[in-house]
Amino acid sequence: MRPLLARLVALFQRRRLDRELADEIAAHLEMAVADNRARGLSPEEARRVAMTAFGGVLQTEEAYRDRQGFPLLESMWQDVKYAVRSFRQSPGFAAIAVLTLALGIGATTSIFSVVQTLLIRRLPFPDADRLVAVFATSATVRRDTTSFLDFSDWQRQTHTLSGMAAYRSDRFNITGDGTPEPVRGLRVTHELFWVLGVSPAIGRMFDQQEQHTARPVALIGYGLWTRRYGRDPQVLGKTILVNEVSHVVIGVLPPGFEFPPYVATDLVVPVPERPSRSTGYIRGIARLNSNTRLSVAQQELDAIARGLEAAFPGSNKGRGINLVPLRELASGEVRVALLVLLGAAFLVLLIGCANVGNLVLAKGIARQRELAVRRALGAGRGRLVRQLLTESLSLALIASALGALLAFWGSAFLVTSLSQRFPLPPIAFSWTILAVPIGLAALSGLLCGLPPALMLWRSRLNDTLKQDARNQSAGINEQRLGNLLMVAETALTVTLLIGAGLLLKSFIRLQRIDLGVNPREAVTANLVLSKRYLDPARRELFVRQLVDSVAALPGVLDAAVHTDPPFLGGGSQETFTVEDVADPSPDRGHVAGFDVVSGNFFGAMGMPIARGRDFDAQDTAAAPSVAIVNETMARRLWPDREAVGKHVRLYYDKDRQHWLTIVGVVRDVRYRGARIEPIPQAFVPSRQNPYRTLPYVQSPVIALVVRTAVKPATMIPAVQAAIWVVDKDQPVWNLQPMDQALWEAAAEPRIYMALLGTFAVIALIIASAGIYGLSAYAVVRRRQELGIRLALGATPRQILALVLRHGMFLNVVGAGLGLAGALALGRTVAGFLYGITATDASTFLGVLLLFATVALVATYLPARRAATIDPSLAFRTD
Amino acid sequence: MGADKSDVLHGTLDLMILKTLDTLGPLHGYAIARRIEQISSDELAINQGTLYPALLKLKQHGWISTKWAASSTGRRVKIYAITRRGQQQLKTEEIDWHRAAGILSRFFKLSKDAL
Repeated sequence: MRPLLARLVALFQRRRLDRELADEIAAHLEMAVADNRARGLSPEEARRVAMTAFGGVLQTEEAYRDRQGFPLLESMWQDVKYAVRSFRQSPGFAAIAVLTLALGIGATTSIFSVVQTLLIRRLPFPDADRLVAVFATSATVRRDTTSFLDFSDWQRQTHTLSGMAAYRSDRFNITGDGTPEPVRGLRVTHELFWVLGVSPAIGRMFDQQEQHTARPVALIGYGLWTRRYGRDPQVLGKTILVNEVSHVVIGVLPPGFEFPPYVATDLVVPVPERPSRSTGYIRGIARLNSNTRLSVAQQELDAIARGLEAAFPGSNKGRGINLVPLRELASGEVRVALLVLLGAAFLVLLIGCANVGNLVLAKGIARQRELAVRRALGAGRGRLVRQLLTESLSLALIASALGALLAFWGSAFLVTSLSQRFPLPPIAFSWTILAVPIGLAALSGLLCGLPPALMLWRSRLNDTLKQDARNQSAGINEQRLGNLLMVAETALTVTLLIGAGLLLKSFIRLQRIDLGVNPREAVTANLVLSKRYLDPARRELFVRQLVDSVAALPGVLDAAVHTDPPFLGGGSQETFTVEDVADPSPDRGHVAGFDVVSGNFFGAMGMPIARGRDFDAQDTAAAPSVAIVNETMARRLWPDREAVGKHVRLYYDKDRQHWLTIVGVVRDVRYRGARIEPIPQAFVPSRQNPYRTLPYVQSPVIALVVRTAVKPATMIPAVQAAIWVVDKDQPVWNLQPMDQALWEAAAEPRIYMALLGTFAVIALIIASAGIYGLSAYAVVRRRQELGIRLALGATPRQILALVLRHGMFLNVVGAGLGLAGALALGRTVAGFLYGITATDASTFLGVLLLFATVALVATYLPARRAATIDPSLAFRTD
Repeated sequence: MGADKSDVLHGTLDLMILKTLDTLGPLHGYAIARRIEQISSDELAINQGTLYPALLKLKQHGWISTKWAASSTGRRVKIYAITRRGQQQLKTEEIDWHRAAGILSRFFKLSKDAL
């Protein structure tokens, strides 16, 4: 221990200690000489004898130093210093290498941090890997809801799943005490906590009896308990109003309880047991038996589904069961996207490695003689290999520091962008994630440094030394390795470019699509109306008061209401009988969206009326019923006739003579984002109370649309207040600028496009730098040869062609492989494309053209230099 | 130096240095070297230079201490002195050495008698 400490201390006193030792040895020798002189020796003889008795001064100093410090560490430190010196000699090389690797490491790390959170990190339930979501399937839907009776049969018959619960995500209004509060919550069966392996923070879960009798009991979320009830344990037994029905609070959910994962859950109530097989409204969650594989359970449930199909063909024909691990449910569709992005980022890193490897190799060849001389002077082969590796590893380490910084911002950006589309847990900075850039640095350092180091290991000392300065060309092995790296780099770049090109093209297509609304200067909000507004007259009064109250605000141009709005995932469809057009089948009408809107809806939405007129003040309940259809509906029903003036009737209308006159045609709107094709839609004015003769009631969800003259975000508090003026108990959802609501629909392709595009640009820059560097190096290397050719009468043109041919040959081979790679990966990206196929010829061609241009320029510049070599100079250079 | 001079037994140089300093008190490096040569009657084939790494090792263990002082001729020299820990170490090593030497000599005697 003590010696170790002494050595450590000595590290910091190196210079002084060296000086002292030299002093001490000098004194020693002086005294020895003096003694020898006293014995009568001549000055020269005295000195010689003293030196002989002492032994080698250098060896003594060396042995002394070895004892004083840490020899292995110090030689490593020497290597690092040597590396730094060589970086300073060629700062361009070092900067390019570091930047190249940093970009790759940064990109990979930032995406990995999201992947880790979403795909790798454990869900907050005990043994969460055994939790599976249980969905019904139909011919077209893989993750459908199921009926309570089917669920009960699954639950009874399964042996591979221990415990199964059902849930339905829902939104609730909590009113009564204090401000009305909209919350997300669940209707569940009583087994849920048992299946998930959690228990209430306080209180209890409801039991089977309470579920059967649909007792109004509720568990409230920990967050809700904290903010609304100040964590008062007395809340148990208290009565709260949930959607205006009194519920007794029997428990509080554990802190952080979110189900489905990452979806806030503030209320849990019993799910109603509907005695039917045809109404699907719940999903299952179950725990896989230990030692049972998912595929085995899936087989069992397939058999159960077939049994139910045979027993109840009327309701269960074509119905299956689909087990999905909960983790997969939690990562959803982003899973594939993230893996694609991770792959792309890793490609960038590999391209960077190939590039830096090539640079190190090129430098290594240039230094071969230097290294050979050092070996001849006694440096071990291992020592030199270690030095090369130290060089590339230090490059990679510097790069990883930079990369970690990039990742820090990158992952923040990624989370912000993704969370607009998808419930995401916050991604906290964790030290463990730093292991990624460091690991990547080690990996890339080895990848870059190993090939040249291996070259060095295998090279024969004598051969290298024998090559004189003029004949300093690379060995055949080095050339082959360099070419291989170049081809790999080119291939990876072309693959990445094509992927990004495809995404870019489909993104441009998406952007060109007219959404059909003017989302700027508009605010939207959703309201879940309470039971008080079941009565149509009261409802209409409320809607009118609401619209008037909001429209009266300064800065508001127009306000309107849409019932059952498509932007909340609603959007009822109806069947219609159409005048002069036959029904599509004997017992069905024409299907179209059924949109009940208030008077100024089209103005507030910014939806232009294409033909005919808008609804106006004359369209009262007493006036003839009117409708406006969208372009798609007009086109489908009356392909070559004018829709305005035609009549339609709701198929299930009890009043068979209740015809609606079409008074206008409005432009199509893509509510659910540009990707989703518009469907036929018919709009009717709410003032005419279209539901009065329909056999069902109106949905309680309405959307408020407000067109503003000022920045929409600034209007939000005023709009909120204006709503509460009309009804202080009315909760409001999603009050936000409309472009934000629509942006979210378009956000996902935008993010992928932006990221993949960035990666592709980085890759192209790296690759072009690599092509340029390698070509330039080849010219330097072949200087003598080219000089000789010129001297022997080759024209500069021929030289140019010679160099270009070699460089471009590698690029062509690489690009060919890259094309093959892109074709092979086509299926993976196909899901992200819109309007083009994964083998879109023009994209492939465009990318090849782009790449060919870049590669040609990058090869041409050094080649031109080669053609202008002065032969006489070429012979002289070393 | 003759071929009959013996190499320093492993680890014995340390012991010799400690013993020298213990007997003669603080000395500089050259004096220690000379002293060891005299006692061993020039029968040891060591370079004086090897003394210095050995001195460093002893110092790292805390068995000797150093300070700078002026020599009899007025030259600045480093003076080595044994520490209390060094004396303890020397005692232990001496006992060990005697025990080992004793065992070895008994062993030699025994084999002679037995044959």
